[in-house]
Amino acid sequence: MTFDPAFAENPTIEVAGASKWFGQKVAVSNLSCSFGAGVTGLLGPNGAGKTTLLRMITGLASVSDGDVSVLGSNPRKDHRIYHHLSLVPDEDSVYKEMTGRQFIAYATQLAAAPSAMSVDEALEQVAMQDAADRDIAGYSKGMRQRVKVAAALVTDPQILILDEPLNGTDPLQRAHLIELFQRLGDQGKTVIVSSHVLEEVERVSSRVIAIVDGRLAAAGTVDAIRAAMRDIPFSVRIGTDSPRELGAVLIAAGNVHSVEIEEKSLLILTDDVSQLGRDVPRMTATLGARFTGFQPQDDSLESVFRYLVESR
Amino acid sequence: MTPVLALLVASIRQLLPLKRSLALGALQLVPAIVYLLASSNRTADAALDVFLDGGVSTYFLLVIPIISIVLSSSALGVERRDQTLSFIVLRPMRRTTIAITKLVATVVAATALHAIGSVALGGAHMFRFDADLDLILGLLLGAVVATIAYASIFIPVGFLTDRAVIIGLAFLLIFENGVVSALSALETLSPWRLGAAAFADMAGVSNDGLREAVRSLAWDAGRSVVVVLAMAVVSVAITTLMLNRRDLA
Amino acid sequence: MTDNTGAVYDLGYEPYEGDRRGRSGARRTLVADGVRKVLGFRRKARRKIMPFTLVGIAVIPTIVAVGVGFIVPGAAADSGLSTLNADMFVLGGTMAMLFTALAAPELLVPDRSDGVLSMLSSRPLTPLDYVASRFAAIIAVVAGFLLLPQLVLYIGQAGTDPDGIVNGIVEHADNLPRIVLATFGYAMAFVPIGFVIAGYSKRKAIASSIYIAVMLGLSILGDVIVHQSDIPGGRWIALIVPLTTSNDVARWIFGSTDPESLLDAAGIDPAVALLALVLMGVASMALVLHRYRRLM
Repeated sequence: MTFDPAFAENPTIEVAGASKWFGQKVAVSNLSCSFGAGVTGLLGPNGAGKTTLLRMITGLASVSDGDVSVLGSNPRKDHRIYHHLSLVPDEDSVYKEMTGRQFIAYATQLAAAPSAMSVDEALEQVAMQDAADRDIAGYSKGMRQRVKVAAALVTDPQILILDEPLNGTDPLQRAHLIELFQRLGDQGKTVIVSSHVLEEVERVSSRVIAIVDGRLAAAGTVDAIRAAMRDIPFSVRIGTDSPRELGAVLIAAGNVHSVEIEEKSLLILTDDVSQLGRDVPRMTATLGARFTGFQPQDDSLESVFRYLVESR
Repeated sequence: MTPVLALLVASIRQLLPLKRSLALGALQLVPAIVYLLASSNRTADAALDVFLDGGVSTYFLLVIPIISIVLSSSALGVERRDQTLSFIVLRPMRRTTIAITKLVATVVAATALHAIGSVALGGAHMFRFDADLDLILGLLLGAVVATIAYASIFIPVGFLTDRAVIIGLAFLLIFENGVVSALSALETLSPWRLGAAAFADMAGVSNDGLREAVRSLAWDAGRSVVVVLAMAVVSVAITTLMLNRRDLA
Repeated sequence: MTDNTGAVYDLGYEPYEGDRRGRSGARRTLVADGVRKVLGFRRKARRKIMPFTLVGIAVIPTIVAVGVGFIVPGAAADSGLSTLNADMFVLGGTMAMLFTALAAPELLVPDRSDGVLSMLSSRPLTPLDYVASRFAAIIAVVAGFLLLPQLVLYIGQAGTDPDGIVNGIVEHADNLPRIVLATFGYAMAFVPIGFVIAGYSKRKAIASSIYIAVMLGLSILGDVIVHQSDIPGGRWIALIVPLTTSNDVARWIFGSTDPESLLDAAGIDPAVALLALVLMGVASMALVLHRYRRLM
């Protein structure tokens, strides 16, 4: 039985053929995937449908077609799932007249269950202890994001959904939050981080679900997605002091689509990076040329993402 | 604190920030000021007429509707505008519970303000002419009855549109003070008249002006209460339906 | 070793070659934008519902009056056309007040709450330009709102003239300056208070409700103080009761009378009241300008 990377083992969230349209505009189209323990990055350009998908999962938006279930229940109908699910939305959904501490305390009071952690512990998780007693109206964007994360965490949810959670945060805050999300994923929680910032998704999640134009474009680890793109050759830069000679040899060997000669390197397009990696040292040794570097150019998520978007 | 109580307290605080409370509290004093200005050097009977025609009419036609419409429109409207509705809705709480709590919060917040107006206006006449405490209680009951009716109408409207206040003012000026004045059969649909009827029954006072304004309504506080409670039940059902059916921000 | 060469690339930027209309162009744009904002033009359909519903309600009485004039020939002449004009202004007063409650906050509040003022400040606009342009926009819209039913009445009544509509238009042309003057009076009665309140309020809804409360409250207080109290000098409050002052001024312009006129009871000449309305307009602009000098 082949394993489809769009579907997680022991899923807590299942999306089956879900579509959502607003009048003539189709925001999500026949999307099927699932989410389970660990951190899943939800990737897509602006307007891809990521936020709409998250709103359907959390029950904030209805499903025009198909099904969404969270812990086996319909999130639009069963409010009890909110014991186990928290959302950190993209928009500024905070009470500006409250302090950070009051806002987090309010979240625990609305939870109808003994809190798994104290307000102070939640503040500590997001490094907001010092500003906790200031009005949220005076917080920066990054501080508001962090207090929203704290309010989501204080009820110790099994499922944590974060929509663009790192917006407005500085590099230090970002690193801290990424580490936090990874730790939560390691604890077995279902963490979904939605973002259009590739670097964030790459750092925080091992599994990625990519959405483009409302459709599932790819799923799995970054490397696996790239490897699955068989119709797109890999780009590799090879450093050498004899680029023309090496290029001629590579073309004769037939393992490359194209060779671009640069001053002290070659830019190669090939289907088989591993074979190329074995061939090049042997070839340069035979030529008596120097071999100074071997750098794949497009195994990053950015490259994967660009291919996904541009191929539509 | 239970979730419902937490939502109730937070909602009341949201409806009555300090500046707004002071402004609306000041508005509550206008009927008493009107009464005192107009009733100086008058006999008890003449002062009662001024109390009813000046003070009470200002209270029921102006103060109660404006305060009730503003607060009702804000109950869910401000959550929608500030994008905090998702924070409330994504809690393990039935949407019916949210709808009821918001209605109760609106009525409690408005009543806190109406208490100022009722004591000021009723007290002004009561202490000058040794009148009954029922005057103050009647004003407060009438205010609460009218507020429940306004909240029943304008909480759902505030959820649907950010123009709820202007719609409410148009409802007051065109429908209640225009159409209903011409067609007395529609008086049951006029919140301030329901409140005025409850006041008149409880306080046991009336004059030609009040009878003219509330012509066909039965002068029974109990009936007014039943009508507005029925409106509240329908309102909660509509609000719950909207919270369940509509896509929420 | 680092390479110290640099390059500037042509990104295809082309400088603006169109008209530069300067301050006057910016002011005209603000006025036009203000009118569009209030009436919901170039915006979603639901933004037009409220303003045009109020316009529709305001026009209905005049359509009925015109209809009566067609069905019952001579009815207009019997009641007195000028009286009818004055009565229609009075009927339209409540609508105009509601319209101002809608328009003034719509015009001023979003620019502050959406942070657009800083963008406008970077244009060739002074705070006075901004305030005056927005004031002009709301006066134009409210005056248009008041004028429309009057024009419907005027043309409708002209249509009932037995000698033809053209004769009717010419014969009652002397009413036109009165209509314009009364429209101006009403606009100056309703707009300034709304303009000030909107200039200082953070929320549109709050501004609308404060405006209605002030207008109705002044009306009630004015009636009580003038008719029922003995406060020395209290009669002068009639000058700042826009609802009743505007009605009294309109009746004076059209030569009709009202036995319950507040100005009559206060012993104040309607011409003085009209001057007071103009001064109120100037004062309101000054108050709002004071606020915007700090904001822009």
